[in-house]
Order: sequence, then structure tokens, then C-alpha cells
Amino acid sequence: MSVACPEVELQQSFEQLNRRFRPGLMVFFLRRLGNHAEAEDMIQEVFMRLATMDATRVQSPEAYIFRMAVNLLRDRSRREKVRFTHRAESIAADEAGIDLLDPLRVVAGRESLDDLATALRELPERTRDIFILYRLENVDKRDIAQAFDISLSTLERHLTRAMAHITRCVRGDA
Amino acid sequence: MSLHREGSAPAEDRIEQASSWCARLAEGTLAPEDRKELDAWLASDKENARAFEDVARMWQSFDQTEVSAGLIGMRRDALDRFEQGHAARWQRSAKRRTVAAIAAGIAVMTICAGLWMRSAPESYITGPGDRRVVTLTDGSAISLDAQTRVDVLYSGGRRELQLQHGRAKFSVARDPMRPFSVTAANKVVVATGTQFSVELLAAQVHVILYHGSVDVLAGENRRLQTIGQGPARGLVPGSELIAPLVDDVAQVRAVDLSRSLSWESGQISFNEEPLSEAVERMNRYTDSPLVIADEAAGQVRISGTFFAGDTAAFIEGVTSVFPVGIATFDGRVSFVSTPPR
Repeated sequence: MSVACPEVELQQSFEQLNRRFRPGLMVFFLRRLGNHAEAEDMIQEVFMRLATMDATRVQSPEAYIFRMAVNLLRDRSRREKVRFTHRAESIAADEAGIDLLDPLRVVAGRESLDDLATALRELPERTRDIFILYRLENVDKRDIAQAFDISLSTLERHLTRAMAHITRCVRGDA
Repeated sequence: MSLHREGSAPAEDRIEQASSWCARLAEGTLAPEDRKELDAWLASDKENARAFEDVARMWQSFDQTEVSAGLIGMRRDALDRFEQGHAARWQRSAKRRTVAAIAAGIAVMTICAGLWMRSAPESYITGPGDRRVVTLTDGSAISLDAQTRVDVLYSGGRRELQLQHGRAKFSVARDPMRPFSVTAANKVVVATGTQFSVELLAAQVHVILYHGSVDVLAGENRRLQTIGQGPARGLVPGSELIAPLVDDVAQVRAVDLSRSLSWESGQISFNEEPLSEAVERMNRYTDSPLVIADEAAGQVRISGTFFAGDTAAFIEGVTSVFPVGIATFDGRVSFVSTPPR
């Protein structure tokens, strides 16, 4: 029996993919390439492959995307071993102990729900709402700014403040 | 996008700067001059690179399904305030436009009335042996098994459904602004755009995921713990979650998707399932329900495929293969663990 369903998690807008995965992918690629332009190309490649693949077979988009990132990197290093920069080599040596096959361990620390929830709760209500709407509910920045009657730059300040606070909390700085 | 950054900032601003870069990356590709600036910032201090990674890791960690489910209370509050803000914005702009004041006033009243009014839920009910597919106003579809009742309450910001009894499959139209949730007894399944089924039995809730992702919560804010052979991160497409009503530890197992949907075409498949659950399911298709006479009989695990409504074939099939028999008590056909002589 066919269970075809057009609405799958991965068929979301490019904008949402950017929002969810670009920072993590950037860290992942920068660590290994040390070159921004190349990292951008790789991220572009990841998103392009996502757009053309059979999304119904994907079980966890997050794991799938980083697995794909590993594969791209491996292909590239086979092709262009020569062009590895000095920085990438020294970083590679740094983390010889890290399993390249488990990129989620590198980019997505398994922060506990309790820590994240506590950090969020400590934020002022407006700042917390903006972070949640933007990061978890995928609402457009402009819509959020309009609903709260604030400028885009004010919204961005709220967002940055929230991100910095949560990062400090999970790092144990705060 | 204009962000405030300084060339060399004190160390305590490092995380703020990293956050600002991370936020810009989340918006899309950087302009060439910004890329250079980011590269320079990262290269200028090893601590910058570390801060950047920490922020990105924090950002990514919100993609764990347990995380997004566990924050459901705060997410709801944020969405509520966002909607209130939107409604208030209509009022603000109406005030500014004096010419269209009356028309705008009516629009505002209509919108506010729409926001405040909570209409009664719509109920979809099937009787013994019935099956039904309904399409909801947002394009979502519900396929109801026999003897099933689903109450649907759509409001401005939420799509709240309640499975009162029976089994139903939900194909959810994607709308991130309006979370779609199905409550079955004390368990809540939260989805955005996805396809899944929920079944409420006497002692358990079964959730099967076909596409996308869902979060299953025990009540309002508590995560459900999962055990078993499923992936550590809970329910993925192609798996079934079985949550007992009495506690918050659920089991996840792989499931044959097409067999699991055979009820939609009038066939019921069982794979190593306790007779008590099989009987509960078969009883949806009959006016004279079967009974389990003793606990041991209810625990016998059975397998097989039966036509919905063909109770006689079910009894014959089960009693000829599995160690149970049939007896009649008070005029009700009952399974017993030892076949009567």
C-alpha cells in the first residue's frame, strides 16, 4: 500500500534549512577546510543534494545532513589532497581523536534539555519569545519585528543576546 | 542587516560577537566582504574560533526533537504573544488611517472576535465496522478506523485534536504557525507537517510514524522516556511507539508500515501481539464483542491477518493455532486459556 505524503519534514524552504543548519555546517566545514569560500561551496552542495534526493527515506534530517557533509568532505579530500591548507592540517591533528564519522558529536553537543530550558527561562520574556519564534517556530524576522512593533536591528539585538546567554549557560560561564 | 561590531573587543564581548556571526549565517550566504571579515575575526584569536563553535553548537542542539518537545510550554506562550502582537498591530495601523476608520474598526472587531471565540470542537465518529476519511479546513486529513472518535478544535494558533477512542491516521498539512497536536488519554503527539497514526487501547497508546517527525509527550511538559530497539532519539519514520497509560516509559520498535495500515483497507494484521490487544481491535468491527475470560489467555501472543468484521474466522484461526479455546459465558463468546473438553 502506498503511503505517499507530500508534506515531509525536509521539504521546507531553503530559508528554514539555512536557519537550522548553516551555522553548524559552517563550523563543521571551517574546522576541516579553514577557508570560508570553500565552506560556503560545500554547504551549497549539501543543500542542493537535499533538494534533489528522496526525502521519504530520511529518518533524521539532522543526522542525514551531517552524514552527507562527511561524505562530501571525504570525496573532496580524495580529489584535492594537495590543496589542504596548513590550518586545516593542524586542526586535523588537533582532533585526531574525534571520529569523523560522528560529526554530530562535533557540531551538535548534546546539551541537556534541562540546561537549555533553564537558560531560556532566565531570559527576559520578550528576548525569549523572539529566540523561540525565530529558532524553533521558523517565523520570519520581519513578521516577528512587526508583531512586537520593534525594528529589525532591535530584534537582532534580542536574538544575539539570547544566543550569547544560552551559550554561556551551557558552557558553564554564567 | 546591520550589526554592531567593533574591531577588537574585550573578551566578554566575544560570545556576543560569535552570536552575531552565527545569527547572520543562519540568514543565508554572506556577502564576500563579510566572509573576509569573519575569516579575519576567526583567525585573530583562537578564543574567537572557540566561541563561534560553542554558539553554533548551542544553535544546533535545538534541533534535537526531545529539546523542541520539552519546551512546548514556552513555545506556546511565545506563539500566543506573537499572535496577540499581530492583532494589536492591526489596531495600531487602524488608528493611523482615519479615512478608513470605520472599515478598519470592523476588521479589527472581526479579528478580535475570531481570536477570542473558542468554538466547540467538531467531532468525527465511526460506529462498529465503519471507516471514514475526513479532510479538515487546513487540508489535513484524518482516516478513522471503526469505533473511533476524534474531536477537532482549530483556533487561530493551534490545531488541537483529541482521540477519544479507537484509531486514526493523521496526514498533517504543514503550518509551523499552528502546531498540530493529538491527545490520547494522558499522552500528546505534537507534529508540524507529517503523517502518523494514533491508537488508544485500554492500557496503551500506540503511535506509528510514517513521514516527518513528531514529538510524543507525557502530559504538558514532560518528555517520554523511550526504551527498546528503536533509535536513541525516539520515534523515526517506520517505527512504532508504545506508551503504557500508567507510566512515562515508552517502547519504540520497527514496524512494517504497509501492514500497519492494512486496517484502512479492511484487513487487520497482528504480529506477535497479545490476544487482549488483538481482541480489542477486532471488536471495533462487531456489535457483539469478544471477551477475554482469563488473564493468561489475554497474554498469548498471536500473529496473522484477518478480515475486519469476520469474527468467526478470527476465532477459528486463533483457536486452531494458538493455545486458547473458546467458551460462552452469559451469552458472550470468550477466549479461555485452556481449551474446554
